[in-house]
Amino acid sequence: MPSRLRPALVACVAVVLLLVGSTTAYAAWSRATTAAAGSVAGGTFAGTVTWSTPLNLAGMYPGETRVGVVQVARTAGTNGRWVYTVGTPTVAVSGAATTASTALATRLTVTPYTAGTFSGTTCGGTPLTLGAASAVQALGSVVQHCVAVQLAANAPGTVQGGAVVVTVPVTLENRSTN
Amino acid sequence: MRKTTKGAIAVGAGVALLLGGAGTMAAWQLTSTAAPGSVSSGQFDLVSNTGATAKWGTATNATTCTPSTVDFPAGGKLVPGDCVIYTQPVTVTASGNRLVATLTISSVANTGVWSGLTASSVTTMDANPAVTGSGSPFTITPGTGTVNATGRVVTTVIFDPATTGNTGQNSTATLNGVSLVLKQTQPTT
Repeated sequence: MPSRLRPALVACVAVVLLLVGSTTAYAAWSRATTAAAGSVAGGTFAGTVTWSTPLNLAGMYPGETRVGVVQVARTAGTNGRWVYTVGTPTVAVSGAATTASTALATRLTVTPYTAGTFSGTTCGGTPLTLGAASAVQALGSVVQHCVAVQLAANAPGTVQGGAVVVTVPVTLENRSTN
Repeated sequence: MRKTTKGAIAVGAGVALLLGGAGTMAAWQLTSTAAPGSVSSGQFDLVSNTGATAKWGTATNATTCTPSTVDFPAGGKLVPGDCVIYTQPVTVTASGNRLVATLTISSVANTGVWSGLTASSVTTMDANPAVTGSGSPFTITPGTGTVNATGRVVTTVIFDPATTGNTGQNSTATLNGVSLVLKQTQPTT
């Protein structure tokens, strides 16, 4: 073969090899990251119901009214807003049932009022709607309600010496924080 | 032999000698350079979490969160009826005349999630001529320019308002959100 023909043949072979190799050796840029929200925690919910003005029913006579004040509050360090509901008060025999206690329990009328104030034996505000949720309260709110207890004017003498327990049920329920 | 004949032979011999000198011929030459100039590499970056926000919201049910403008503080605690909306910006920076890349989003499992708590993440990219796709994977094609494509990962956390009892009190959940991968793909031309 003439010498001037040889270099041209070598060049053709080299080009073919490169084309075959490129389709299986593709390198790619890549970046990765995360978008994590982090951690969340559940709060706590606790409250207290106490007599800020104790209800003293000792020595009541027919027709008499005695008052006390119920206070509802959230425990410090708990979370979220809240509502509360005052349920129907109950009067139950205290200790062993006796004729007097049983009779007395049926002669007492317990009435929670909207206001937490009283004058003498008269509660401020109007009688509270029982079983209805209150307005939403802020986390640190403290609410009070005057409670009036009246012994029926026609209570018989058999109620004398009776002992009862007056209960005002209050239910607290959480609401969202904002 | 005549005189004319002798001269002709002498010329022919001289020409033959010149043809025989092919191994030592000098030739004109020109030299030049073919410099293609300078080349540059493009850009390729993915950034998230810079400028993230968290806002309180109110959950009306287990799946609906009404956002507010109130910031959710670090360490804030949820009660039933609370929801939190986390927004984490995402920025894709890319350049390269033949660059084609895909942005793929995948969920990462959460841990410690208590009953009544749900967390879900949605990733969206803002309208951009270099970005196609309505969801993962998005395709980024910068063309001759530089793309700064923006988007966001929105994570909504809802504490079901119907949760009762003491469920979820003093509990902690870790929300791992999503992973984002931006990867160059082979151009078709």
